[in-house]
Amino acid sequence: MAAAIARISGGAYQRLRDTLLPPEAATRAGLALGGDDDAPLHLDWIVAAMAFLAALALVGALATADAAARWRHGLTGNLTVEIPAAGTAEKTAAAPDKAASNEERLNRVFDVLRAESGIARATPVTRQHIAELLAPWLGEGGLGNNGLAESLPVPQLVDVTLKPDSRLDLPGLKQRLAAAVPGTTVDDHQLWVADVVHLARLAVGLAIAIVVLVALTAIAAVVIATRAGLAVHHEAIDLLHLMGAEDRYIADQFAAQATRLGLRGGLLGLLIAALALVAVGVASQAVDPKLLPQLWPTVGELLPLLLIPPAAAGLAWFTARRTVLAALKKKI
Amino acid sequence: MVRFENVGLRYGLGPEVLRDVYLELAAGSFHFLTGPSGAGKSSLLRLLYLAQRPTRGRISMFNRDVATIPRPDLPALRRQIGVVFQDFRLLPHLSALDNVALPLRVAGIDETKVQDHVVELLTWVGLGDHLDAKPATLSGGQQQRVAIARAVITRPRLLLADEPTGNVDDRIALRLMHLFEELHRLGTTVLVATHNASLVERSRHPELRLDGGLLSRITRRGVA
Repeated sequence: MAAAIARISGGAYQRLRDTLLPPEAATRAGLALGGDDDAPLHLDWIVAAMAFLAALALVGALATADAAARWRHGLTGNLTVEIPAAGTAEKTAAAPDKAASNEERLNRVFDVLRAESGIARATPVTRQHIAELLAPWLGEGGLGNNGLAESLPVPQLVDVTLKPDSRLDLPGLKQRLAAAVPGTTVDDHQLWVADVVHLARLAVGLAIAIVVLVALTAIAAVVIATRAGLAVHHEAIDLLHLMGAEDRYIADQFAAQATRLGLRGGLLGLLIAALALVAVGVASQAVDPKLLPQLWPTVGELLPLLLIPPAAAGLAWFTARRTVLAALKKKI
Repeated sequence: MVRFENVGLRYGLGPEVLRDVYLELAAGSFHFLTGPSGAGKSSLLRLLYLAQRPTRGRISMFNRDVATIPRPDLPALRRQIGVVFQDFRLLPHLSALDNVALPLRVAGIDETKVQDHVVELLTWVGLGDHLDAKPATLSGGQQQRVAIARAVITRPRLLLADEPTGNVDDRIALRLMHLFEELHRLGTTVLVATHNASLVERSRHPELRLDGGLLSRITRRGVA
């Protein structure tokens, strides 16, 4: 496996590893922990699998959080004003404007909106656009010449864009709009935003749980592999002890090997995850973007994934060292 | 330097392999340890190189009670003891040079000094041409010389040798004994466990005899 990684990295991995943690140094220091390819339990492969899962979990969380942030950003700066169609509001309110036309109602709503300082832009949604939105349910045949059957009491909609950092008096606006045109409502999308935030938090929490679980599994694997190594090399360890080797002298040799394997596993897991993500990215381009929301974090957001290999190496170093020190403590 | 008082040792629930052992090795002394197979020589040596704690009695080494020495202090104590094991216990993956260098590396000696000292000593024991040889490629006698070189490379204060001349011819045995004598003259306390009666007879040093777990001291004039 080392050869495969060396080929892929053009030898950079090998140089980095040998510079930081030369395996022959550990061998000369007494313990023949063997080549890394002979490591107990193939620890590097286990760490690679763990790193792969951790990378996918992190990407999933990053993508969801990123999409949620974009949705939230898109929704929080906007309002939708819904004006009931002429002839429907009378049923719900004592309307002085019984005979007001849709156009007149729209003008009254715009009068109220123009008076608001926090509103940057208000755009009526055309009946053609509303017809397009309703087409999946009504079908093309349900539409009249101007886009909608005249008999349908379809409300008029106004898209409102708020000024950045505006402090809009939303309850007051709702009251003023309802006074201008009875039955008019304002949707500030809070329900949506709350759902999106909840979903994002859930995804991030799930990803953290997966990463923690993966880390615990990796720790368990390192502990088992290290104990196997201690059992295999107990004679050499006893000899080193009799020569006056301190526990940390022996522990450092196991820790160095675990670090190499952790680094190698982390790099391999990240590489496989990257290939998998590229494959998913390529496949997703063939899907209609209207059907699939954009769930692709930016390169900058993916940078934390580069922490996986050093994190795996650090975790392996710490775990192996602690395991050896704990085991040696029981010896005379 | 080493004092045993009423020391007993048993493994598990078995019988005592060492009984009521009183032993004193003065600093700079030289002793032979003899006795038939199974008499407890290796057990006594294990107590001496701190691989084993006694079941009873008191052992003091380098003026410290072994029972009360904190575990973190043991490595420093062990570095003052050189051991030649009967089965050599060379590490098979290391060359002769690296095997002998191991105690120096464990002690954190500068690597440039390590090379010089080791090459010099291995040359002295006649293995200058086998520095890079792995133990498996060496004869029993050559392995034994590597083991002895490893035991003495740090100039230990106490040298324990278990059958150090068992696998070498008389000429090499004599040469190795001269090495031990030289270390002794330099102040090292030496204890050599051996079956080689002629080696003991030729020497002026006192003999400690173990039999049935009991230790007695024999001078050239008789049993003490």
